[in-house]
Amino acid sequence: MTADFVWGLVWDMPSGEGCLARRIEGLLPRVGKPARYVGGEWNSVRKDPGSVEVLFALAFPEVYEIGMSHLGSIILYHELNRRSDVACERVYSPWVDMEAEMRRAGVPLFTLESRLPVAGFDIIGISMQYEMNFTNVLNLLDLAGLPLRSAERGPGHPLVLAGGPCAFNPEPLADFLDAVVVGEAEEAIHEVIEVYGAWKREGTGRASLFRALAAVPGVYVPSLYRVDYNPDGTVAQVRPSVSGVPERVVRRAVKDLNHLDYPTRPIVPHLEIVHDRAMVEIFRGCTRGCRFCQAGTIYRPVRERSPGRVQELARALVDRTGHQELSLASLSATDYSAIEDTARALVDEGLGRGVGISLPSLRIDAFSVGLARQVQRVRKTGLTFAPEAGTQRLRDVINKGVTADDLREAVVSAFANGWRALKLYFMVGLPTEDYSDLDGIAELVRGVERAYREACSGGPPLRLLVSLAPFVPKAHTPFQWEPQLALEELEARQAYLRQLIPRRVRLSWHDARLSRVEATFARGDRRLGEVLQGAWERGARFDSWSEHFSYERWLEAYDRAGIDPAAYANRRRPPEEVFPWDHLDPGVEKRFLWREWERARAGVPTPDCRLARCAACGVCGQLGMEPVTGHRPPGGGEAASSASG
Amino acid sequence: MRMGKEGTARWISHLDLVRAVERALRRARVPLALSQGYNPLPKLSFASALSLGNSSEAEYFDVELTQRMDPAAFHATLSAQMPDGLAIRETREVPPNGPALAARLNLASYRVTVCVPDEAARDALKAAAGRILASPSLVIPRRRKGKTRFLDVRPLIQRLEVAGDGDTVEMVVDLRLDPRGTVKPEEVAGLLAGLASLELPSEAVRVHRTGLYRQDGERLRLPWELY
Repeated sequence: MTADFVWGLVWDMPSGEGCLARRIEGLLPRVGKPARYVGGEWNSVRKDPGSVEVLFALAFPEVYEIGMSHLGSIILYHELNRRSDVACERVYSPWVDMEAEMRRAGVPLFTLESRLPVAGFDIIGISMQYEMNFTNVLNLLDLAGLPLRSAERGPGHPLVLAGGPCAFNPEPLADFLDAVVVGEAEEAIHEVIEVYGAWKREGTGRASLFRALAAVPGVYVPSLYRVDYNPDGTVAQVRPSVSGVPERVVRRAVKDLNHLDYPTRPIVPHLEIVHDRAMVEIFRGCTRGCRFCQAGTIYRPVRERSPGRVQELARALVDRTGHQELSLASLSATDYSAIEDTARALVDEGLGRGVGISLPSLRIDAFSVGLARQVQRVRKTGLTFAPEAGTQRLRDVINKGVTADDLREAVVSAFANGWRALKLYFMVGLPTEDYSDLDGIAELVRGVERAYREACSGGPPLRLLVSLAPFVPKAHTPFQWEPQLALEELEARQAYLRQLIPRRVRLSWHDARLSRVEATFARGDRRLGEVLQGAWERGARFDSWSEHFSYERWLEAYDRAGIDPAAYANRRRPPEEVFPWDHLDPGVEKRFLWREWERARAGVPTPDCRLARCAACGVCGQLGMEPVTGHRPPGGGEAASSASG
Repeated sequence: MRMGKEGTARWISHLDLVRAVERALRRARVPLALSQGYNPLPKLSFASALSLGNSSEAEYFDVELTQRMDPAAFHATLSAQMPDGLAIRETREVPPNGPALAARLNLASYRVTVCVPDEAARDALKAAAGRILASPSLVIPRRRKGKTRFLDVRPLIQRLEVAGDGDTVEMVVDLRLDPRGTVKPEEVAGLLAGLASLELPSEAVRVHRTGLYRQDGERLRLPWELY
């Protein structure tokens, strides 16, 4: 007996829902965490799909608990749904059990709000947060029943739009995407909707939509660009294949966060998600200038939200979500100029109602720890510090402005304030690293243990976790010219550190093979699309989950596509090389990145432009912006948020 | 409070349901009594967990406040903050420091709807119900922490009525909640199907909880009649 006969049942389905909704119901008892697929959460927005001009499916190529934690998606859901002409509905990658059930039953990818097939939407907007989600992007398109490649889609198919940090090198996905928003999307998305709406009313072909989108600042339409290659296989140039398309797509960035609408009614999930808390973005951008860090380039300059606005948003968020915890989100919470007063005001307000404050991304110093102690009610989870490298020499190379003294002070303060658990993050295989730098990591770890014994002799044992991530060179960073260490060497350094670090310390090591695949895509070009599709066809998905990652599958896919992964991951690129992402402009100049690479080799740090002089990265001039901080910006200005006035 | 759990909310696990109610209570900004400690939580006590996928019109819980509120006002305030499918059905004021709901209730009523392929299957289920009721014991294996023990569930099945026409079977099932062991309504449906040599896919069985009670001999009381 098959299960098919039950699909005819009409149980307590709200009226107006079609057959698909019933077929989905039939799958739910068979899968883990069915609440991932049902929608109906508090603050979710459900509109009559027939009443809007544009149906937008906001797709996140990861499981619900991760996708629902992503602030950028929360912001876009809000921006789109506050328009009366758009209904924005969510879709996440179905977990492997649900995917199997959907494929078995012939249920296509559907949105959570109305349980409508994604293929019937006008636009699918895909968030690209991480290279190892790329196979999930293909899988979403396939589950939706769409042709994978842009060139194979036609009238009646949705526009496949993408954005997120990987938009700064989307080339491996170029053949699969119709258009990419480069940079911050909360303003650009409205322009995309306007263009799409006008095109829809006009009723012309897809080619005219692509042309119109390419005219929107910050929108990149890969099919309108041609890539030429040199005889040695490197990129000769990427240039528009038709006239009227910009040679460089300059990133979009919001000048002043204080003028933005903010989602104070975010969806309250049905099941526990990764970041299960209300989030206020206190500032965007970071100019600390760590040379491995892509976020440090693509979100420049620093733009703080004013303390008054932060408090107002925090209040509204807590009232409207009922969350017990409020997180002050940014790339480095303690770099917010008014962090102390703001955090204290929120704590004072929250305590009576049982609402706690959390400060992710702490700087490594005693001030940060002291602040964390004052504001964080839940201290069980432990503190996380990221020294990234084991010696001062190497920390100077990567421009991580942290000393062994900073770390010692921070941990001494943490132990004095009652913390018994600590996480330390390091990278392995950074440019110029040698074995003495690895010895330095072990030395820092021993120093932390010593500090703990001095602070808490006779106490419970310290719970110390050391995380070691292989270095992955990323596009638009000063290390973009650098090779990743060969896999064998990365694994040898892993083994070396394992025998160096005491067994009582928990060691977490990212799979070096996964990092190698990531390294090929992080600086990949369009030819990697073949590899991506090959790996997906061989079953690759959820590659960032070690239990689903298969290196052999990837090697096969490289081989079948005739691609040498080492040419992407492990090759030192000469200074004059044209990169596949050179036509995508973050505002920060390539020559600044090169200068930073030269300073790195000389071991010369570059100070944060908020604290010292302008480092001449070029972003302010190119994008017509300036930093918005409480610190005095160059050329005067008083308090926070003065810059745009 | 008596709450419903219907529609998409059926798929919320018990742990997540508790959190959903906590959040609704915070949004309602009622004067909640909070637990002590690092992680203060509203003082909430639920009567009995429901299996994932089952619906209910009888999810009972107690909420403790720091100051008295008019029950009707509380009902309206909280109702406005409840997510889809989790409607507050009834609110009663009970004295503070009462007994834990879970410990006092001992009977749960369900309506179980089973979709069967044909009338023969329906009749076989009816006959199986007769056999269960006629037998003095019904021992089933229970696996727990890798160990298998045996539980006689027959005394827990207090009522089992099977009706229905066409390809739908409607059962009314009253099950005793016993601290030594309980049986779930979907398990009873599974036992029936086993006796009737029917293979029931999980999506063919729908369970709806209709009530929770305290039974002492002939006397049947609702949760708030216990105070």
